Amino acid sequence: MARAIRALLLGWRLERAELAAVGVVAIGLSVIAIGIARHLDLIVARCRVVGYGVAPCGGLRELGQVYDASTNTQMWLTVQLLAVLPFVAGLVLGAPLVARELEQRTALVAWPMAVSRVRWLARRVLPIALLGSIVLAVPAMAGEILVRSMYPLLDPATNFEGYGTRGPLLELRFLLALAISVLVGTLVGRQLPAVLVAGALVVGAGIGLEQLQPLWVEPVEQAAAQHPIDHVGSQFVRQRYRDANGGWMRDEDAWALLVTANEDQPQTGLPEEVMFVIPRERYGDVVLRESAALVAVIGGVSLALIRLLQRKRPG
Amino acid sequence: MRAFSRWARLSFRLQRWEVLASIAGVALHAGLALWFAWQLRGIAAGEPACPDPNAYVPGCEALSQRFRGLADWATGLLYLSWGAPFAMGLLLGVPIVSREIESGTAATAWTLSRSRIRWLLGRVAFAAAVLVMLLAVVTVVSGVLAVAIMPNLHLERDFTWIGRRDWLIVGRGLAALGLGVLIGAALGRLLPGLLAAAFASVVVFAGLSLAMDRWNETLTVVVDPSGLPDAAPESSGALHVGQRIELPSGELVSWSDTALVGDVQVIDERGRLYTAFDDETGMPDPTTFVGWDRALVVPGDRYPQVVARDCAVTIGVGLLALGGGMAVIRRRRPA
Repeated sequence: MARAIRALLLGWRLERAELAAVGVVAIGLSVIAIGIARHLDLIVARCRVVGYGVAPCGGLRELGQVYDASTNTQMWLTVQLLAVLPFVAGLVLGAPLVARELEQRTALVAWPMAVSRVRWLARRVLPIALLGSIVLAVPAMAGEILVRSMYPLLDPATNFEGYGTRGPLLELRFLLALAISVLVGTLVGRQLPAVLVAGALVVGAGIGLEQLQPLWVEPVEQAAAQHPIDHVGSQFVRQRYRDANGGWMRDEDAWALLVTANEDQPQTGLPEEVMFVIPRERYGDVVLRESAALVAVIGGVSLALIRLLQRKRPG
Repeated sequence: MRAFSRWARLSFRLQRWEVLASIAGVALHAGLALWFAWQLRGIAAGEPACPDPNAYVPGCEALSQRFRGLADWATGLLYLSWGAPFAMGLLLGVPIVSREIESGTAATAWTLSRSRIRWLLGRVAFAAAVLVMLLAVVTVVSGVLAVAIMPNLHLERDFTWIGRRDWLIVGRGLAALGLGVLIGAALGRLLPGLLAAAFASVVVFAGLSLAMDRWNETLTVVVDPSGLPDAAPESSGALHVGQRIELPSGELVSWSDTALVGDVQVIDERGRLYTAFDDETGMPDPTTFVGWDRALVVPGDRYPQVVARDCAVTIGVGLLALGGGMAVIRRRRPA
């Protein structure tokens, strides 16, 4: 226990400024997210009293979402910042961890004195990973609260809104960014170049995860909705057109047919628009699969890091 | 000439990574922006009516869809144009002093140079020159891209995307550079300096934006926002500065002034404001009429003037920060 506390204190001492910066941003964003959630809860409560004919209660109520124009902008901005936060936190905490030791040449002393380089690395990386995860647990929970308030009629566990900005994915994405950044920092051996290179890689990882999201499970044709809320919370993947015989059409051919259709004539033989979605009930499956993939990639990057560290010259 | 070349070469060597990263970023941005502009212009030149988002033109669906798809991606590049001056300014500004202090070379560099201020100015001049050249490229290509995305607007007198396609990009870059130098010198550590400078930039530029909004209020005209832009031609391309309530007496009051106007509950389609519904009819209660909804806007033809003065103020803030940086390094210990 005492060793664990000593390791955490060492982590704090090594990256005081970086941890403080990540902490301030994470806590600040969480406070904003919870503030917006509380504001939305008040709107919902008020709408239940005054009825849904009054702005801002009308219109979107049937979609399970109630908000006004100003909170709409704040919500959008907060969700975007929550999406970026784990990557920035991983980059800021990870890139200087080994790069600083190499740049300031303290690795020349530290590595020969350590029992092994791997143990030396573990004593640096693990406390930072733990402290970062603890700090990011707050926005991960705040994101869940925000999505629950944004869609009061849906369970956040069956809703793709705010995907990646809440729950365990936020933590795992942080760990991925941290592992990539430590690896790049070790490879480059200088802080600012490491931040730049790792930043580019982390942005690439973020974009890649965004593109991969619709691929974790097989999308299905969206069923006809009984109520407007039936389609809310599902992940849209693509749109296709089906002809009268049930075959798939090229988009351009479908548009040409739709444009030439006469509104006064009966609408027969027109292409049918078909949406492919991942139903919201599969949110848990998608999170689980991405989590498993992230754990595997983090493991791979960590192994590469250990191999690199064992061969790296300290000066 | 030889001294200039030596100074440029030495300065480049000291900031090689930051300069190369900035050049790579700008080259990528410019390449993409010009490619998108070329594609969008090609579509607009073939069928000039198709890119108009406000008009439905039969036969344009596929082209219009393609134009909008490309324009969506291209608009993302304009967000990068907005962020580029802050990122590049801090990236080039913070390490100038902080890296020297952190790596312990400041003591030698400051002792060898005639004065610390002269040393700092030499270093900042190179970073500023690189920054201005690169951000000028960003400004020009962003302007070209903006025109390609919105071919039907007169963007030279339109506030749409202000700060993402004009010389404000260069002004903000110089201000961020000054701020980066100041904070890097004060903290004397590279990465914490970068983080602190990023925080400080958010605060300073948010404050600057609020201050400029207040100043811009001196240029505003009052318009009826309910039928924009047809009801008020001066609101086309205008900068929205604030929202007010016009009382029946003609006086303009703030929306937050609930003591005067009460708690406004309803706005009808003609911009009339009421504090309650009539329970029987379900319509706004005419006895609770408060006034009219009004917008304060700066007309679009003031766009060059607003950009010029915003630019001047922003560069002024950057110079002040640089002055602060000089004061810091004059008194600072080099380690």
